[in-house]
Amino acid sequence: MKGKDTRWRIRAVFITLILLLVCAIILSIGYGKGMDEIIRGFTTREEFGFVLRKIRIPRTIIALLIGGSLSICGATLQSILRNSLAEPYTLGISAGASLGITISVILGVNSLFGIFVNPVMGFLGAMGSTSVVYILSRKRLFDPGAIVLFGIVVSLVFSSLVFLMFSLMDPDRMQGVILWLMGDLSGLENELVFFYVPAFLIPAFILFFFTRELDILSLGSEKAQYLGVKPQRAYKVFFILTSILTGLCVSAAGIIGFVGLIVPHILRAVLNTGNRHLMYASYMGGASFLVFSDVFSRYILYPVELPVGVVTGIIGGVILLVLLIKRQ
Amino acid sequence: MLSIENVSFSYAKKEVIHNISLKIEEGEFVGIIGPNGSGKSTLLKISAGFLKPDKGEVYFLGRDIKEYDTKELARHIATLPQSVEVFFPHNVEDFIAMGRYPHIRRGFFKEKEKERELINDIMETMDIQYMEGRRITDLSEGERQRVFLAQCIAQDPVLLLLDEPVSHFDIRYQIKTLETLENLNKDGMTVVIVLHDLNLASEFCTRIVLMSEGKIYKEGSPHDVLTFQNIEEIYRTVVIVKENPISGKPYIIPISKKYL
Repeated sequence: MKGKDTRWRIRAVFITLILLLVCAIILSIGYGKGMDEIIRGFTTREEFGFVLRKIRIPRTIIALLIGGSLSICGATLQSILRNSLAEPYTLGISAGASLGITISVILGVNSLFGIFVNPVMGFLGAMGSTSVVYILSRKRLFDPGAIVLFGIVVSLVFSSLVFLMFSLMDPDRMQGVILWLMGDLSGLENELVFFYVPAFLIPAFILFFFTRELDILSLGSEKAQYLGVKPQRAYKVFFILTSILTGLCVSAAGIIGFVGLIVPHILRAVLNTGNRHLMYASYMGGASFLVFSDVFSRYILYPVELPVGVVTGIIGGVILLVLLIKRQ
Repeated sequence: MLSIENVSFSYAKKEVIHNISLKIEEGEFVGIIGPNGSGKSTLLKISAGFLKPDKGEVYFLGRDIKEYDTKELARHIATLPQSVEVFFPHNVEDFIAMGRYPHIRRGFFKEKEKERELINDIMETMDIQYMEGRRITDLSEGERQRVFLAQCIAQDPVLLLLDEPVSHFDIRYQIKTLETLENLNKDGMTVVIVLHDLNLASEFCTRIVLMSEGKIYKEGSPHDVLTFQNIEEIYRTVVIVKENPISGKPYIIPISKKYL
């Protein structure tokens, strides 16, 4: 009986998520326009058609990819660390990525070797901060509390290093970098979309492949080993995958906090199943959430555009606070 | 089946297992007893291949346990540690199904129906069908422990290692769970169980290993091990040992100091 309840609940959640996703996409692509105009925009060479193809669609695609990726990174990290506060942002992975990219921008590495350097430097920076957290927590046998504490400290140190870089930097170039750091989807270079789509999707599919292992790791490293998952090796694989995704996210749009925290948090509470459903649901939920946040940041103070990271920070932070207070 | 040979182990600098040798034969129901801190759990973790001994070797089915792949070992040995962390609200069936992990090859979706039946059967044996669809996080500690045990049984092991699996239960579920284990044992599963309750150990185990300060103090049948001399020596508590009139096994009555 109750097994059927669960199945219906899962179906209802996924249908809601698909609807949300469709709404988010239509809203982001067609804000301020009628349906007929949007459809015409795809086919004609009018001004709106240009805006659609060159600005709105690429921006929406990137927002979907980033939102989804941050969410599954959060879900992954929360499972392996057994801590619902874990996400790329709180573990210092985002800060590490931003340091890598800041170094790349300041030293001009990116103009020297081309635009693909930023994601790579972001990944290296993310790996750097993750390795520090990993090595520190290994001594504490990956105690979940210790990992998050180390993550926050590492995050603060790496962020300070980013600001140190800023203070040494040519003030003319600071505006753009600061905007990017706050989480900004507007500065995207169009041709990069073709690189980002596979780059974001491949690690995500690998994560989808390992949901069973995630479930098992959530029982703690000792029990995981008894069930046949080598915890140390699995930790490494998951840290590398989340670092790749975080590096990509930060290089594309700076630091966008809380998406990876609240989306899996809420979905876990409504789904009440293992990671198999949670990961797919998180991807869709995170993607919709970021696209909605982006639309909101674009038009709430129109024509002034807010950095989307500020919007997710405020919305996400408030939702999280409400959840935390309610739980007590 | 499992052969522990001259094993020593230390945490940091403190040696907690001193040169222990122990053989577990197929079909046995072995109880490990001993005071807190005598090394029972550590010995179990070494037997399960989780802790690597500093000295000595562990052989499982004639092969060094180090040579086994983690997944391969999980197909043969299921271990229930003292605490399993439950962090996420998995439903009970999904939770038990995690025990199938070492057996399932990736992408074999055809077996889904068979697997579901298997989980149902296990829930029936463990008498936990009524928990179907419930979240593991909503269960009581005793109920959870039975789900953990069901997860171990889903691994379809030849050797089951359990660290105090019934401490959270009331007497009804203690007996019920141990009877379930006894039945599994009769069907051929070898069981090694760490128990605190000496009377339960006496009733259910075919062999008892009494540990003290990282060594095996005594091993043998309940009658040989559970004598008042042994218990008073190791637990430093005055006891009277009688015979259970039904089973004929020894049973232990502690005597409070005020009557001495």
